[in-house]
Amino acid sequence: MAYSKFWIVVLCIMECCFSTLINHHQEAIAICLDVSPSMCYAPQGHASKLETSVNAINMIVSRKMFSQGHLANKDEFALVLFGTQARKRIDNYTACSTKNALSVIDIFVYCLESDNDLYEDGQYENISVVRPLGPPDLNFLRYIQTNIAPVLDSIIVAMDLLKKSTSGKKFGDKRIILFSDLGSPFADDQIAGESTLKKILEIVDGDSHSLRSALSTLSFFQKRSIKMTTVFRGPLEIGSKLKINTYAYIKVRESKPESWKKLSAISEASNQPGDMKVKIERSYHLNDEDETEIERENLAKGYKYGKTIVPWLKIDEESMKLKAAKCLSVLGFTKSENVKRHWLMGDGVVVFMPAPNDEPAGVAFSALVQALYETDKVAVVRYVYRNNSQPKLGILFPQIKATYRSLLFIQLPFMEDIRQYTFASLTTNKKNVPTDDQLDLVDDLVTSMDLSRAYRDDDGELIEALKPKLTFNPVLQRSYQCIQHRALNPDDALPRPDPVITRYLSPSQDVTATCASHFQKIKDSFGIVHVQKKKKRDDGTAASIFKDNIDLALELDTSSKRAKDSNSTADVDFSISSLSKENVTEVGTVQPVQDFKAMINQKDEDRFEEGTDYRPNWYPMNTLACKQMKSRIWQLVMDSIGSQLFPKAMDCLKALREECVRLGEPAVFNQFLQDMKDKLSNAFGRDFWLLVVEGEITLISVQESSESDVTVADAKSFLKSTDTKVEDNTKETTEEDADDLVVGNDVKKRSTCEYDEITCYELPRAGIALISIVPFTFTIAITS
Amino acid sequence: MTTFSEGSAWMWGGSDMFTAEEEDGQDVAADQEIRWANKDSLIMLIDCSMPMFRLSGGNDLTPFQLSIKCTRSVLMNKIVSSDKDLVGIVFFGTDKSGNPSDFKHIHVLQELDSPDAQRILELDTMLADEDGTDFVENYGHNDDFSMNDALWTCSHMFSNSQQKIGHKRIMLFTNNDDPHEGNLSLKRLAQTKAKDLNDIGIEIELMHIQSANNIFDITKFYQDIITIPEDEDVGAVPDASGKFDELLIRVRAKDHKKRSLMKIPLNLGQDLEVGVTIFSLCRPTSRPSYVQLDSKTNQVVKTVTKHICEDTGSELMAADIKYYQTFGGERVIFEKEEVGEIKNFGKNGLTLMGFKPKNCVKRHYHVRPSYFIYPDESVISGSTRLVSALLERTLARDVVAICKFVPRFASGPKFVALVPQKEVLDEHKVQVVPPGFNVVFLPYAEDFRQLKYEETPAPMNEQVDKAKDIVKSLTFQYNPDKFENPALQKHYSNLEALALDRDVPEEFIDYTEPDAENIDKRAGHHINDFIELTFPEGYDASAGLKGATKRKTTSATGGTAKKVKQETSEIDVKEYAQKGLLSKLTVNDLKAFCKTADIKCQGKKADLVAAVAAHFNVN
Repeated sequence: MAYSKFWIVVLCIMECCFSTLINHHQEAIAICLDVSPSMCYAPQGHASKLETSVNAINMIVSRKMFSQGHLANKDEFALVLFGTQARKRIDNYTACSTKNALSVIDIFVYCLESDNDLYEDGQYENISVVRPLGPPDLNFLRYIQTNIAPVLDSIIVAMDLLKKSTSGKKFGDKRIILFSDLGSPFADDQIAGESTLKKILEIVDGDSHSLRSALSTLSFFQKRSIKMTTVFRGPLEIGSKLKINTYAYIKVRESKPESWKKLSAISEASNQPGDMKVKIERSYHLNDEDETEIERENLAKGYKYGKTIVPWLKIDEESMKLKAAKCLSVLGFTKSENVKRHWLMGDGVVVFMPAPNDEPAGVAFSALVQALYETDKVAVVRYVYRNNSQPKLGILFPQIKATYRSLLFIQLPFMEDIRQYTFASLTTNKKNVPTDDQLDLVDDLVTSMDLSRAYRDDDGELIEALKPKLTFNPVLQRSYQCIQHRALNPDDALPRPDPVITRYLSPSQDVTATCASHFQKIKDSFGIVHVQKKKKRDDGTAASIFKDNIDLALELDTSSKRAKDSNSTADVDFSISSLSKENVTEVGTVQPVQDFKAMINQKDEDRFEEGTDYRPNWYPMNTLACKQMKSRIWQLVMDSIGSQLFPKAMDCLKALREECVRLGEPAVFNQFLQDMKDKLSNAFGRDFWLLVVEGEITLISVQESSESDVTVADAKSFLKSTDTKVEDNTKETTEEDADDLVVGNDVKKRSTCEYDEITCYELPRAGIALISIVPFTFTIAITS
Repeated sequence: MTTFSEGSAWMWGGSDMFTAEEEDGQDVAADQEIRWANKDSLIMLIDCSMPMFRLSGGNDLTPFQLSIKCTRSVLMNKIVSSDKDLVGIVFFGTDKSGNPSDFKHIHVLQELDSPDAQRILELDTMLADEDGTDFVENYGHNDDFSMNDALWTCSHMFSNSQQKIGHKRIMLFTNNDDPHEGNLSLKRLAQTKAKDLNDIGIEIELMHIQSANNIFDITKFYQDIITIPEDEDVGAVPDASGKFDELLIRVRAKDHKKRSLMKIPLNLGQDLEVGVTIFSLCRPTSRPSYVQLDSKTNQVVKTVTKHICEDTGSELMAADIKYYQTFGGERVIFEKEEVGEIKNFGKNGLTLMGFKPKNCVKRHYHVRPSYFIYPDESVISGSTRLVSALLERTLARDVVAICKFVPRFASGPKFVALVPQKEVLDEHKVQVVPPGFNVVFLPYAEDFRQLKYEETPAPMNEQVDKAKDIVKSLTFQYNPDKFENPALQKHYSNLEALALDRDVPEEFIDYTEPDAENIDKRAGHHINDFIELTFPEGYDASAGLKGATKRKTTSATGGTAKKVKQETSEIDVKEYAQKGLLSKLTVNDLKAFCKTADIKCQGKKADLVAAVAAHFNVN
C-alpha cells in the first residue's frame, strides 16, 4: 500500500514539473534519484549504488549537453531526490572509498509546499525537487557533483526556484528517469516495490535497465540530437515517365568528436589574458633565393597533368565544370549478390523515403521496394544531390520494417577507384597449406569464440556481443568524459578512462580464459615464430613490438616517471593502454585474473616506489594484489545478475588459490574460503557457494603447501559439511520466492490493487515515459 | 614522439585516409621511406616485328595497336592516380634503331619519365595510323633483333634515370612465342640477361597476345625470361589474350606496384599473433588539388602558414598553442599532449574479439570503404598458413571475424569485420578475386542517426507484380569496371585540351547517365501499366513535390520569415531569441542582425544562432 502511494506521489510531482508546454521539439527529462539508506550502502571498497547512480546521471546530462551543443532549443532536465528522511545521519560503509564526498549523506525532510491537494494528505513527504526543469548546463553538473549528497540544505533554496519556474513551456516528450534500488521507503518490501514498478512500466511503456548497462542506455538519451533534415527531395526516376517523389535523410555516418580549436598559450599565461584567439596567416613565396612574396591577388590556380602544370583561369573554371542536374535516376537493376560488400564506397548510408503527403508516390515506392525485396535485386542509380554537385553512382537496396519501407543508398566505386592487384595464391607454396589437424584447431577456435551468443542479457538470454548499435565509440565517450571532468576540475590531470568505456575493448574474459590452452596449441602446431630481424635503426629491432609485457611495462614505467616529474599528482599517467594491460596497478573487473597475476609478478620495489595517496603503500605487493582480488571476487558474486558473473568469479577464486599455493601463502586463501563459506551459506550468493562445492575448490592442505595447517581430510570435509543442507534450502526458497513474484496470492492481490490505484490517476494521460535504472534486480529481491 | 613507430617492423604507408586523420610525421621508419618516397617505374617493351601488324581472330585492331592502346591507357591511368610514376616505351624489331648503345633494331620511343600530354599525343598519332604505313616509314620492321639487347636497353634506362626509382618492371608485348627460333646462342644470351635483371630486382612481365595461327606456347622461350614475383604467384601463367579488354585487365593488374597501407600484427588471443599486410583496393580517386601559381610567371609558389596570437600579435610556435572545446558555454582547455592522450587506446594492430555469422554484418553497417588484408610472413613465420586456415574455416562456416582495429598509435580503435574472400581465377587463369579478408568497418552506436519514419502505405499485389516486371526487364550484370567517374573524366579532358592547346576538349561518354530511351524501349509498357495502376489520373509528380515545399514554407516559416526580411529589428529578433525560435530565422537574417548588433560571428547557422542567443543572454 505504502509503496503504491509513494509511486503516485513521485509521478505526480513529475507531472507537475512537466505542466504547461509549448515547444514540441524539446524534450523534458526528470531525473528521480533515490537517496534512501539502502542506496548508500556498499561493501567495503565498492561504489555505493548512490555513487554509481550519480555517475550515470552525470553521464546522461553531459551527453545531452554534448549532443545539443549549439542548438537553440534545448531539452530540459529536472532533478528530484526522494527517500530523504528526517535529519537522520547515516554512517556509510564506504568511508574508505575514494570519493569521500559521497560517503556520508545528510538527509533532510522536505515537504513540497504546493497547492496540490495530495500534499494536504501528507503524501508528498520525503521528496525533494532540487533542480527544476531547465536546460542542462555546467552548473547542473557542478551541482550533481558537489552538492547532491553532502549538502542538501540547498534543497530549500532550489524549491523556491521550482515554484517560480512553472513558466509557459511546452515539450514534445517527457521522460522520467528513476534511479533506485527499490529499497525505500520500506527496505523490507522490495518485492512489492518491484512488482509495482513493473506495473507502472507496463502502463507507461517504460523500460528498466541495470546500472551496469547504463552506457548502452545512453543511446536513448542521444535520440534526436541531430535534427532530421532532408539531404535530397526529388523524384526517383525510372525511364522518362516514372517519377516517384522521395525525401532522403542521412541514416549512418561516422560521428566524430568536435574539432579542437586553437588557443594562444602565450596570451593565457599573461597577466591579462584577452580573447586568446589564434589567427592563421598565409603568405605565398616564389621558390627563389629571396623567397619573394607574391600578393594574394596575383595568384592563379594550376592543375597537374602528368608533369605538365596547366594554369587554370577563373573563366575556364565555370565553363569546364561538369554540368549535372539534380537527380536520382535508375540505370538498371542487378542481382543483390552482384554488388560485393567490399565495393561499397562513400562515408555512410542515405535512406530514401516516399515524399510525405504524396499518397500515390508512397504506394509506387512501396511496390518497388517490395518487388526488389522479393526478387533479391538492387537498383543501380545515378545520384546528384543538388545541381552541379559531382554525380555519384550507387545502389538502392530495399529495407522492409513493420510500419515502413525504405530504400537505402550506398555509393559504388568508379572504375578509377578500384585497384586490381594480383596476390599470390595461398596454396602456391605447399608449406603454407594447413593440414587437417591444423584446420580442426582453427575450427575449434571459431566455435569457442562465437560472439553471436556470447553474453547474457538482464533476462538471462544469450545475445550477440558487440552489436554496433550498442557499441559506443570509445574516443567520443572518452573525450566527453575528459571535457566534462576538466570543465568541473580545471586543475586536475585527465581522469582515468571510465571502465564502462573500456570494458568492451578487450576480448571477453570468459572467452580468452576458455581458449587459453587453445592459443598455445595453435601456436605450436602452426609454428608461429617471430622472425628476428637485424636492427634497422639505432634502437629498434624488428620484433620489438612483440616483446611482451615486461618491456612494455618498462617503457611505460619510464613514461610514468616522466609524468611524475612534471606533475606531482600521482595518477597522472592513465592512458587506457596502461590501464588495460601493461601497467597493472589494480585488479580490475575486466580481466581480474590477468591483472592479479601481473601484479603478483611485478617486482615489489617498483610498487613501493609508486606509493600514492590513494592506495596504502605499506602492503607488500602480493598482499595488496590478494586483497584486491578478494574484494573483486566478492564484488563479482554480489553484482552478478543470476549466475552471469559466477564463472568469472570462479576463475578468480581459482587463480587466487593457485597463486597462494605457489607463493606459499595458504593461510590467505584458506581464511578467505572460510569467510566465504560463512557468508554465503546464508541467503545471499548460495548459488555461488554451490559452484565452489561442485568445483571442489577445497582449502589448501598440507599436501599442496607445507605452510598449511589443514589436513587433507579436513580440506575435503570442509566443503561436504554444508553440501546437502545448502542445496535443499536454496531450492525451497528460490521456488517460494519465484512464486511470490509470479503467482503468489498475497503479492498478486497487492499488485492488482495498486494497478487500480495507479490507473485511476490516469497517469498515461500525461504521456510520461518512465525509465528506471535499477541497479540490483531479482537476485537480491528474492533473497532479502 | 610515438614510441611505436620507431624501429618497429610494422609500418604503414601513405594512406590518404589516415594521414588526413592525424599528423604522421617524422617517425616513419627509414626503410619505409625509401619504398614510399620513390616512384614506380615501368617500361613498355613492344614487339614491332611484322606479325604484330597483322589482324587476326576477327579483331579490328592489330596486336601492335592493342599494345599501344594499353600503353595509352596506362599513361592516362598514371596521370590520374599516381602522376609521379615513370613510364618508358621501347620498340624492338624495328628496322631503324635509336638507343644510346646503338643496338640494332631497337628504338627508345619514350625515355623513362612521368607521363604528360605530349606523350599521350604521340601515341594517339600512332593509333591513328591504322594501316601502319607511317610506321613502316618512320621505324620499319626487322626480325633480326636480339632480345638480349632489348632487355639491356631497358636495364640501362632504369639505371640511367636521374630520379630515385623504387619498383622496376618491364611489360613485354608480343605475339611471337619463339623470337629466336633455332638460334640457341641468342636464346641463351637473352635468358642470362633476363636472369641478371631479375637478380637486380627488375621484373619482366609477359603480355602475350594471341595470334591467329597457333597457340602461344610459353615453354618455347618466354618461361625462362619472365619473372613471377613471389607475392603475385597464382600458380599459373595466364593464357594469351586476344581481346583488348582481356589484355587491359592483365595490364591494369600489373601497372602499379602493389602498395600496402601498413603491416600490422593480428592478435588472435593472448600472445598468439600473426602478421598481416593491409591494402586499400577500393578507395575514392578524387579530383586532384590545385597548386598555387604566380599568375605572372606561372611558377609554382609555396605557401607559408603562421599562427598569430591575436592578443599579443606574436607568432605562435607549436608549443605555444593549446586546444579547447566549448562545453556548457565555457572554454575547456587542454594541452596538445592531452588531446593526443585522449585518443590513445594502446598499441596498434588488429585484435580478434570473436566470430559472428556473416549475416550479423548488415549491408547498411557502412561508414567507410573497406580494406583488404593478406598474410605477411616477414615478421612472424607461420602467418600465411594460419591465415590460410582461418580463411578456409571462416569460409566453410560462413562466419566473419570481428576485430578491434587500431591502425596506428594514438588513433582511436574501430571495430571491423574480417570477411573471408575466396580466390577466383577466370577462364584465362587471370586472378579476378584475390584470396584474403576484406576489412569492413563497423559503425558505432553514435553513427546511427535516429530517424522518425512515417508509415508507408502497403502496395497491392498487382502493383508489386508490375514493379517486378519493370525490375526484370531492366536487369543487367553490374560490374564496377564499366563506370568511369564523369567529373574526373571531364576534368582531365579539359586539362588535356588546355595542355595540348586544343580548342575543344575531347568528348567523353558519361556512363552514369541513364539511357532513358533504351529504358523506355525495354520497359516502357510495364512502366505505363505501373503508372496506370498506382497513380491517379492527372497526378503530377512535380506538383506533388512543389506543393509539399510550398505548403511547408507558408505554414512553418512563411509569414513570419518574410516579415523579418523586411525589417530585422532588434525587437523581433529578441522575441525570437526569447521564445527559443532563432533557428526559424534564415541565415541571411541572422547575419544581417549580427552586423547591425555588431556581433562577431561566422560559420554555420548553429553558430549564428548560438551567438545571437548569447547576445540576448538566452540559452
